[in-house]
Amino acid sequence: MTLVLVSWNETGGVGKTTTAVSLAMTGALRGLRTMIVDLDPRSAATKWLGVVPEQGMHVGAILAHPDPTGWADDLALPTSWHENLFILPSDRSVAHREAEKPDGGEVRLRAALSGTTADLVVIDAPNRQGGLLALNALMASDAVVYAATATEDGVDGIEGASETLRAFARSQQLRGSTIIPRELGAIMTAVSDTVVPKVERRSLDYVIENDLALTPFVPKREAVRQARVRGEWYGGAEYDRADVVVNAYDALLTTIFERMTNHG
Amino acid sequence: MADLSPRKRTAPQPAPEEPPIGHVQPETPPKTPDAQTQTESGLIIPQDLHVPHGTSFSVMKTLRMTEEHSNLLAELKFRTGTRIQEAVWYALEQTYGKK
Repeated sequence: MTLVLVSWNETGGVGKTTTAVSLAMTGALRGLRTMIVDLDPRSAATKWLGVVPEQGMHVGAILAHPDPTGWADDLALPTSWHENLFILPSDRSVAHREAEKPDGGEVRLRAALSGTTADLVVIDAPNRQGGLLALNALMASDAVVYAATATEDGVDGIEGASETLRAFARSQQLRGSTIIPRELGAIMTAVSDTVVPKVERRSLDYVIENDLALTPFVPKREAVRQARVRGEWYGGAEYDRADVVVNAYDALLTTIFERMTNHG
Repeated sequence: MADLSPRKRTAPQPAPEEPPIGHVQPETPPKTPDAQTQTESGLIIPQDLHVPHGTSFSVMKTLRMTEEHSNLLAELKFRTGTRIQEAVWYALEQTYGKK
């Protein structure tokens, strides 16, 4: 049975894409057929994996069509990183799909993922306060994972996303729908593992006190940024200093699976 | 009851071609009343900006603007950048602020 996760934060630049790609690659390394869905018009995940879709053959095609049932597997492209890792790419033009219309557009990603052969799907959601792209992510997901740096902006984005999720849940309940993703918690990224600045400590304390923290925290390593610039996986041999980051995401994926299994 | 034929999955179709993000479509000029003039580039400049007596234009400008003014300034901003918008505001301020 496929598990669909969404990596989300209403603030940009706080580790959503790093988290989505890292969790997905971790799943692929474990032998799971894994699909990343790049739902962000910025296409950061698409660019990091070095994938170039054919004209129009990206997630925008799903969002533009009234019945994209099962399209995700057809549009997903293999990656050079791992034979188990695929990506449903995005494109800048996906921004055209952000306007909401009364045409049931919020369920198109869910329809596209119907019947997928992927064991694990990780959606890289754009930093939005609601809107059609975020709605598609929430309608398609089994669980929400917030990704955030230990900063005011990062934690603000968690609060906003959590509020949006609660509003979504209320509206689904009013409709009599059971499609409500579970709020798993926050993956704190790029955390200082030597001397923790006060701002970081304050942010980490906030997520811990509010029972949002998924552990372990992901330590900050420059090698991750270097790998992104080069379009490579930071778990490769030339990035040995990023081993701790690889291990952190591996432990986090285990935590996620355990929580989803216990939830039933 | 006869069996239903299996639902056939449609093959993916590419996303429709659209203008690049940020592109401003040239608008069809509305039927212009006598109070409007037209620039060489075809932009309609409304002449009916109403400034209530005694009000500070710089504070109330957004609320007093007509939709045509808003559209004009939005188009100027996209086409020529924020400096033009600032110049227009200054011109309006100097023109109507004196009254």
